[in-house]
Amino acid sequence: MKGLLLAAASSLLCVAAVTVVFRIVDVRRRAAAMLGIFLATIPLYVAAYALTPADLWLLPEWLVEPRSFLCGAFGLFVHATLFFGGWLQVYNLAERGFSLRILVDIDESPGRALSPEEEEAAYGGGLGMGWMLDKRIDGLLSTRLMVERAGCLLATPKGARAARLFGGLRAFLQIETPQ
Amino acid sequence: MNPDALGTAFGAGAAWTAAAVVVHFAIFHFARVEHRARTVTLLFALAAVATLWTCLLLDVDRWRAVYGMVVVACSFLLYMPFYYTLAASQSVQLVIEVRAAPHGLSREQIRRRYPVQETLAGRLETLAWAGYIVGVDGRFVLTFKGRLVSLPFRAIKKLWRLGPGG
Repeated sequence: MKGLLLAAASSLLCVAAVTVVFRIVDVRRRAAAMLGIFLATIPLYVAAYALTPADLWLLPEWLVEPRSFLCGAFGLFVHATLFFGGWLQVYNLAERGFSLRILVDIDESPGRALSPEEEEAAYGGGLGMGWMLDKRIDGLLSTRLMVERAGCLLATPKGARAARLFGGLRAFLQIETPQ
Repeated sequence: MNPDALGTAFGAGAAWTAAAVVVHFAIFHFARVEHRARTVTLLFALAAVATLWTCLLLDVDRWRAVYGMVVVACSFLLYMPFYYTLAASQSVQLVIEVRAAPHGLSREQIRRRYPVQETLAGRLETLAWAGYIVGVDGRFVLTFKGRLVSLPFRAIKKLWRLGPGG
């Protein structure tokens, strides 16, 4: 139980730090900044786990684990899950989610209703749908999965490896081209 | 208290998670699945129940059995984003298509492959099918479910000072 409680506390500390940083600093690579903050909370978690008593001054005996290392590792796994499967996904959805952006556009429109043509122009807070594709291409260029040479986009060796892996998995799982 | 109870619970959770992933791959490979996300969710839910059953069978106390189920829940939280990236990410699709083209693709060629109207129409159809929006007089409005999703994300975007996103 100690591991779980410290994991929850570390996760809350992590998201609080992310909020403070995003509010006071103009961060260009936000996902990388979030990852850095998460990594900084790991030594804090380990230190808190090592320096506090097994019962955290409040847990009943039946919630105290006899195997301290296993409980600590479990807490670390939960902390990592809450970050990678929780906060980072919330950020990804808010920053990159196509469907979510459509819902927000409709919600923020004056009459809270949009036709497909109006959504095409209003997408991304008025940037338009064409911007969405450019944003994804620029993202692939900045992560060096693709390069642009003489007006043509080419897969880098890293991009080719990713394409082989994901293409193979998509074919195996019978996933069709998404819309 | 059995000192091995925690390890047994974690082992059961990890083993049933692995089983859920293997069954997921097998089902999707051999059958045409219509409700894909629901199927994966169901498989992990079954893995959680199986973990509880295994723990109780091995005399693990109920509290540690719940830890085993937490292992399955955490694995689900990590697996679903991976699956969605694989299944629905446009960036993944783009990099696959660019690699498949012998001389690469220009931005214009990519725009032709992903016509804006068709992409948007497809996504609006999906959102309507899932009950997030509904068509009224040629326009789309949010349903209650759609607003439930939109509102917290609008708040997060404001709190974290994110860009328009999308």
